[in-house]
Amino acid sequence: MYESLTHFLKAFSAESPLLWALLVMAVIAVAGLALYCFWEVVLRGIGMAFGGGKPNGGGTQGSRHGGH
Amino acid sequence: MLFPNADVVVNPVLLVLLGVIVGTLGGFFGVGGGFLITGGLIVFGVPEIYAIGTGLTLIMGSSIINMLKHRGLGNVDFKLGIPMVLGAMPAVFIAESLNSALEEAGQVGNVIPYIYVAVLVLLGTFLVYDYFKTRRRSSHNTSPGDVVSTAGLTQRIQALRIPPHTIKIPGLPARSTYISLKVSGIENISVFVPILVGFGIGFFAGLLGAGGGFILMPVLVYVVGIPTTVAIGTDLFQVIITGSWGTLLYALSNNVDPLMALIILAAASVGSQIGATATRFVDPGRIRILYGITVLSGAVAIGMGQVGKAAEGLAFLGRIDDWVLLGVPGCMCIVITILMVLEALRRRQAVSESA
Repeated sequence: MYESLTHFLKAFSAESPLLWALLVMAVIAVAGLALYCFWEVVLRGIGMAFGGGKPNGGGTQGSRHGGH
Repeated sequence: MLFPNADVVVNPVLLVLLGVIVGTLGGFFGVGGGFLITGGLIVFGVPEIYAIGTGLTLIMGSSIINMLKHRGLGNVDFKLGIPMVLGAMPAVFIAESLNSALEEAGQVGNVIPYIYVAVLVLLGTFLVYDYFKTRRRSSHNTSPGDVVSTAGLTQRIQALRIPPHTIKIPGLPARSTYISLKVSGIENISVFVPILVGFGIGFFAGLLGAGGGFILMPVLVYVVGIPTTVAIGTDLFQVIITGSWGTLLYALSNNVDPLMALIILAAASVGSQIGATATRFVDPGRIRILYGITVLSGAVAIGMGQVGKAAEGLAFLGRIDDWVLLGVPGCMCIVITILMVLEALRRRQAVSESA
């Protein structure tokens, strides 16, 4: 499995640079989105379990619209 | 573990640790952390060109996570971010042309690291100076929050009236070039201000070969007058664009190891939760001084590397500079986590006392 993945990564990156570049960008972007969603669900679950239905308890920090 | 594209064996535990540090600092300070990732990967034995390419790929991925997290917290001002990106794009090309000219003259190796160190020292010193100055001014000698010592400058910048005041697009009614930035709390500002800021940052980023996030956040706070947490979130939006462009260029020349980037990204997502959440608990003034200290440590590390190369008797400095580069941010992550936990406990206690 790992060896075939290694072979694919090496061969594809050498044969089609443009497709490879777009694939890399797409994979990283999708992974970023998926990880964000994963942690949102996990934190929401933890928040609901321990915070009485309010995910990520705690107020916002500081004054957003002033102070300058 | 063997990483096939970079053709190098690296312990994945080290990559996970690097990812957590990068994610935490990225979420807390709103920077891509390019200098940290590249330096770290080189220490782990990754060839320099792959360290840069994989670093840019990771910057893109971790900035997506951090930006989305900050968007959820209401910290991203897209009306500010889009004109900045439009200003940054041509500037990056101009700076890269200048960089190529310097490279042809054989001056890149001599000039760029010194400019980098000078910028980091100036920035870090100013951030520390501003923190103590505004803290002294505050009534109880407490952390200054969103109050900065350049309030007069930010008011003048926001009041700038730059022509043309309207733009006529064929087929559409004339549109004002002044915009309202509700998320940033600015009622009326010329759209040319963020475009010019983006241009300046893009020029520096292209010249130094960095994402530019480390300069943009303080410029937004101290020059444009954006609240610290909004500056962090909006900065990340700009870093996604510069990171994506860098990823495309390096991936085209096959200098990215996506497997390595994915492992670090997964770890960075854990750090992102800590860093971005911490901005809700840690005072904005403290965020800025911690950032100042991190920036100064970066200047020390790069300076040590340069001295180590230049002076034979001090060559050992060139061998420990990368450890300084990783060690201080690692300690900073611990400080951020402790500050967040302490403030969360204090708030919980205050709530239970008031009830």
